[in-house]
Amino acid sequence: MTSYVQDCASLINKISNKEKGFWFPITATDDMRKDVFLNIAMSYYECN
Amino acid sequence: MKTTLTAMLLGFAISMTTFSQTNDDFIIRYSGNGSVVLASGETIHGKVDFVLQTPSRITIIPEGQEKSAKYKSDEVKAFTVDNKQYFAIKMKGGDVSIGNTTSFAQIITPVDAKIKVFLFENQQAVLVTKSYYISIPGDETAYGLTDTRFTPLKK
Repeated sequence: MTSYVQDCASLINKISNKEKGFWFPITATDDMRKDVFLNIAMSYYECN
Repeated sequence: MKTTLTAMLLGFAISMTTFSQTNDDFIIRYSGNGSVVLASGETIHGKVDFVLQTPSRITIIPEGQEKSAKYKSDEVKAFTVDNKQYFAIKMKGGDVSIGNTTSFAQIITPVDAKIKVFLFENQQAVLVTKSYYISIPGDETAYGLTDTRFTPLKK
């Protein structure tokens, strides 16, 4: 996923540091995954 | 006596309601004023009707007309109804099990976001399933949440 947001350093940091809301375990439910992807999409939107 | 009679009448009314239910009562649809943007670029305003049992079709009664027009998802770019915006997108993975399928899905990120998240709702009998799809720039297809390319730390 990080390759799609390379031009947003703050977002890369959040993902790399596994900040809450920007990372999920492999056992995550669809709801957890959806929340993380929404956070990533919105952060990237605000970053650009 | 009066109370008993009222209870009996109420019970009768409830049982009548139960017996008069048909499968149509369970069909979930979003209807209201909206617009449909065709693949040609033409925009039609009117009364939009979107039924979750047929997520690849949209019906609209254009303003000033009585007859409805029906469109398949490959004829339409997007439509709005009830302040929700839907796009015709190709989806892969998730609950869409047969290859690339084009259906209408509600966009839940801003329309101009580079990474978009869509909500796809589908009804089969009385069961409504909700699944989410992600699209990235440069790829027409939206992928299910479990697609490995979207694991956050994957490069």
